[in-house]
Amino acid sequence: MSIRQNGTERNHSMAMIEISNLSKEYRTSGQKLLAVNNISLALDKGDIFGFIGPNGAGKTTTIKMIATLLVPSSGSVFVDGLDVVKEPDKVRSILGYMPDSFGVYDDIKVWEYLDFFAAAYKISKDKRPAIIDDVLSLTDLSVKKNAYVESLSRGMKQRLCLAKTLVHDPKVMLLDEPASGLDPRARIEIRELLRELQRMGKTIMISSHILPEMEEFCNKIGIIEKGEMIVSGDVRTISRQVRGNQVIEITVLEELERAVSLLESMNEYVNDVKIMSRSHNENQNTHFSSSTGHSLQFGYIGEPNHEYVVLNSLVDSGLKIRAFHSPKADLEDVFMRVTKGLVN
Amino acid sequence: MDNPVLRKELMRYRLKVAKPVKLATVLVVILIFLLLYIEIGLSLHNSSNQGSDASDLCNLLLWLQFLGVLIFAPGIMCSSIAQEREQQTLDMLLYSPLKTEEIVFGKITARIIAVSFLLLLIAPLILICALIAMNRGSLHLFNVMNAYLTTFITVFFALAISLFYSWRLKRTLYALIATYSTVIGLLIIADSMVSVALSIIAGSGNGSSPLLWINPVMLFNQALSPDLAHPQSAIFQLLGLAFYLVCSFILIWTVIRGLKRNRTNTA
Ligand SMILES: Nc1ncnc2c1ncn2[C@@H]1O[C@H](COP(=O)(O)OP(=O)(O)OP(=O)(O)O)[C@@H](O)[C@H]1O
Ligand SMILES: [Mg+2]
Repeated sequence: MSIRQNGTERNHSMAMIEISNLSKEYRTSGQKLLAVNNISLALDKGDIFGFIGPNGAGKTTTIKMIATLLVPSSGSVFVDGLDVVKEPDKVRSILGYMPDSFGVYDDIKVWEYLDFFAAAYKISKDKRPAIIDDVLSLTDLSVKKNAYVESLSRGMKQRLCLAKTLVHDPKVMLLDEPASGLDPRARIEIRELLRELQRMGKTIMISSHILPEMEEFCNKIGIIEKGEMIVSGDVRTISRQVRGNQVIEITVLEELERAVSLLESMNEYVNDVKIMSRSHNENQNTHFSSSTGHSLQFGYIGEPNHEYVVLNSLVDSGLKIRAFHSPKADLEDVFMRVTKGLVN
Repeated sequence: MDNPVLRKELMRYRLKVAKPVKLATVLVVILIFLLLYIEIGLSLHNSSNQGSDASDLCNLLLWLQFLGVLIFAPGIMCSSIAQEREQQTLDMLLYSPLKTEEIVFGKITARIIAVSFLLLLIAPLILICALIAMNRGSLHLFNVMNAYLTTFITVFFALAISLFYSWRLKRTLYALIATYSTVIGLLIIADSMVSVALSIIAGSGNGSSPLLWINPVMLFNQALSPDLAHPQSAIFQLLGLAFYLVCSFILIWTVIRGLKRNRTNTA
């Protein structure tokens, strides 16, 4: 990364996006509302940051401040060392911003739409066709090049909007719920596209309500609630914290006690083992019934997606496992717990 | 043509029909106009009083053209900003590095081109009549030019008014209603009524209160058939046009400034 010679502050480390003590207060009809409350965050080049929070948490407000569309009430935002308040035009030239709701010009063709924005970004006429072809193939819209925008499906329009935010090859992308309203297939396609952008070394901030989706391709996540960043940081660290609360339920055909002691010995993966149910005659009988299943629950604290290790060792030890599953075992669960439904 | 907004706006006028249909339409229009021209040429040729017939026809056409574009122009201008807002594209337009001046003038220029295109269609017809009439001395070149100038400036004013409403009122339909109310209701009807009322109160019979000179109909009438009994009318007409121009620029400037503010505060 180059050090800017001509003036503006560069003592702001190497961060691509640097937010310090950012707050935004809305004043509407005499009422004050602190939509964003003292948020700090630093993203490096190549980071994919998942910005997660319930409705009204302040995600859009934060993104708009980074995108130079809203002036912060206090605090500062630097994008690639540029102050968003002092140099909004320079910041915009390196930003690709996709708003949460947007429209497209219906009555022109796909390539004309992109050509218009390329021209708006002062890209010379002879370079535009190649760029348009590039962003179209990146967003998988090449076949629609000569179609009218109005003939595109909603997901295609969303991709077209993404293509549009890419024409000036921004270093930083701010995507405000880019996958909202899309069917699962289109969501997967958007995810593929984001991976591609990640490979291209772009710094991406992406907001969403949907956690498991983010977990897959974000290297950092932050959870915001009521304007405050509750947790933020490396996705693995947070996942692990979160996974501590992940509950897995096991049903064994017999030998419940042995299962419990086995689990309790695997303390790098397991904590908090609880027996859920025994057979009816359990109280009279020292032996467990052989006809019904017995369930137990434990908290999984190992690596994400490595629950099989536990299952394997149980199976290896000869236990007859009937079921092994996590009833609500994803980030969403934690998200629900962390955010407690405290919406403004 | 360097302005991307202008190019985009012009694109949107494009008829989304197949090439043969377009070609056929153009041919039919040309044919109709050709027949019209021949018909008019012949009847003027056979007329006993060519001079006054030609100048009457010329006046009629200029009047029709004036009123026609005055109605037409706001109709296409009202969508300029309101539609961007309605279809949620305004924010992205303002977010791009395009200057607000570029956006606003691109939009105005596209409409001026559309209006000019209409004027060009009737121009040959008016030209023929005007040439014949001028040849016979029943029409002055100056008046025809003045009529065109008045048409242009008035239409520009109407465009500026509807641009302003389009920005201010957020909805194309409201902007359209407001523009017609202003141009027809306020400048033409209300203005005439107030002027008449004032002259009755003042008791002076000789009319022309200065207020009347912001009435587009009055301005155009003076341009085409000057009131020779009151030479000062010519000056009032010029002042009226100057007033239109100044107002237009103030309105356009207001919109540009307003959009500039929107650029960093779309909340
Ligand atoms: N222009 C505004 N004027 C006043 N209050 C606003 C404005 N925009 C947002 N708010 C308020 O600020 C808070 C945060 O809103 P914001 O749009 O940032 O939430 P969000 O996290 O993006 O939510 P969502 O998931 O629904 O998109 C909300 O309480 C909202 O009502
Ligand atoms: Mg939002």
